[in-house]
Amino acid sequence: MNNIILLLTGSFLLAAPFIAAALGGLYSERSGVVNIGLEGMMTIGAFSGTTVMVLFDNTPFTVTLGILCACLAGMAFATLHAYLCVTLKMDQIISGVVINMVTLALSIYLCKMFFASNVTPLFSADSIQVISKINLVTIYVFVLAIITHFVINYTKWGLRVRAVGENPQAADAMGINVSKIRYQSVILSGAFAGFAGIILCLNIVTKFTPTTVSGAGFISLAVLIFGRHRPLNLIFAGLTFGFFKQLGIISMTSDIEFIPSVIFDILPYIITIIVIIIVSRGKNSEMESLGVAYDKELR
Amino acid sequence: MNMNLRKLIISLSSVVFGLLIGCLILILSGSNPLVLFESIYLSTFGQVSKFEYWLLYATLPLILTGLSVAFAYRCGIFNIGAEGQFQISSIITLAVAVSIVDLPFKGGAFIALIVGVIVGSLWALIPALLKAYFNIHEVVITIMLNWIAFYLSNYFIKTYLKGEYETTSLKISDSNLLTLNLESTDGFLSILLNMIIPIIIVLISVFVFWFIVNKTKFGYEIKAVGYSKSAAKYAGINEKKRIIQTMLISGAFAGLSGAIFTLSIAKLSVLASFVGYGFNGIAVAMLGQLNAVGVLFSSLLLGALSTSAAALENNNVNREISDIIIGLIILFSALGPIIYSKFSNKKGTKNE
Repeated sequence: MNNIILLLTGSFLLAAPFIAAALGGLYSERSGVVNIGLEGMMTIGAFSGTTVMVLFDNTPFTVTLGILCACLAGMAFATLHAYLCVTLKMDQIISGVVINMVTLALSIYLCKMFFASNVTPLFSADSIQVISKINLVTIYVFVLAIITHFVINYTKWGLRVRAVGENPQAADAMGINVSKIRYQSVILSGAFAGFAGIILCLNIVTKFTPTTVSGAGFISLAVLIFGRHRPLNLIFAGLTFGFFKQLGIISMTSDIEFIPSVIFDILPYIITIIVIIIVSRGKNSEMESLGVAYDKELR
Repeated sequence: MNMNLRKLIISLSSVVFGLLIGCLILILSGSNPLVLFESIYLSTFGQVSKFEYWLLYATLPLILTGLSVAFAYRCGIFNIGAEGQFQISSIITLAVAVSIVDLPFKGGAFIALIVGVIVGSLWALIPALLKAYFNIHEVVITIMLNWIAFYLSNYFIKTYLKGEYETTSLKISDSNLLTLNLESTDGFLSILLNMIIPIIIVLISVFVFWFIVNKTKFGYEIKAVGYSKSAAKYAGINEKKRIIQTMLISGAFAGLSGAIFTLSIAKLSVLASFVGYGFNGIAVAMLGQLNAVGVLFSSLLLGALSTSAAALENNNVNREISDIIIGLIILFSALGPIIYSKFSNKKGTKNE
């Protein structure tokens, strides 16, 4: 029984960062820009957020400040991504790869510079407001998913994001500034990714280490695809992945050792591949211009 | 301007800008930027053991993953999966090499090598089939496969292939290694002789890459698919088949890389994060402008940069600076052609 409670609460805690980053990816990809750099934006978010929280520990606004700083750091690199992909029309995958590489190295570099170690000191766990074992930020994430659902589907801006991602030529002809919308979406995705990064620190370990993120950004990409780029589906997709991850963690410490933990490690990725195959059979017209830089002259 | 000269200028200036910004970061964080160059020298020609490490473990595998990424990119495929293909090939090569009996003339090593190449190729076949027949983008699939390979590899090292310690695998016997283990006379020459088999294999691979891409109909066709899938299709090229063949070859290069690495280093360790040969392969492919010889020289350079990490740490400079510089170099080499064409376009319109 204890294990079941642990499994459920753990799933929620682990799912929160995946969902938050996947929401970020959703804004970016619905506007037509692939964001492989989620992983890196999470890393820099986790590092800068944690650093600020360590510096201003034990104040009433520690968490708020940490989250704010994490979002800003994510946004900074997202702006770079937008500049490279939208303005300079560089290959969006390469841009993402560069961001992932540089942010991880930069975070560890700065961490060693500030704290003389590749791990930040712990911030006190009291800073995290706990409501029956699922902390407040986790709830924020679910609220954000619902808000995103309304923003994307029922607002003028959301319609523009979808239009720009689906058919930038038509959107441009209707007078929508394609570059502007894509910039806004990508930068917003950086804020979400940075937020996701700091949630990893808040929910799982109360410090930054070089392996804090290790792959969470890529799992978020998987969540995004599993959830078929729909905000409300992302909650379900994220919880599924969180569940498997928690199952893997529990299996290592408890008596279900007959299943090797590697199964739980690789299962989310295998599921994602299978889901992608299933999803791909139906034509996904709304994501048609994903990954293609918009060139006005080719209209 | 001559195409090749233009590429050379872009590559060289990418390196220069990458190093310059790296130095700037060092200065801003209060370190002496000259330490960077000193460390690069120390970890390449500075010492015989460092020289061996640089060439055998850092450069040779990197050339092959670079060729892997570059080959796929020629056909318009982004093989982020070189990392996973490297990893899965490493672990299977190790498994074969430790279980096979000692054969004369490095027979065991060559059997393990061939198995490794096939495994790398098959690991790349998964995204290839999905791209060709389901039109699924290869990037997401290969990222997922990287993680699967990563966890599988760690799992096998911790269980079936566990060696003396918790975190390292069994050791391959000397006769099943590709390196020769000759009586060392402690010179650069004996080190080179010791790794003569891997060097020859890599040089043959570079030649094969160049030959396929530049001298065969197949190479012409994959480049056509890379430029425009639909145009290639209308020209009568079976683009599905070409995509699959390209990925098989690309995976074979990455698999060969993992096999050579394992058959030189003798044992593998449990990893906390990716080894990075595949990701750095992207860097050398970009820096080498997707050209076989370009990849060769880029690997020597970036191999030196990544091995200098240890020397940097000894000089109280954070080793991550080398990764930052490598990242910047990818960025600049990808941006180079864009900036160049913008610049020349502006000049063109002025002339009209």
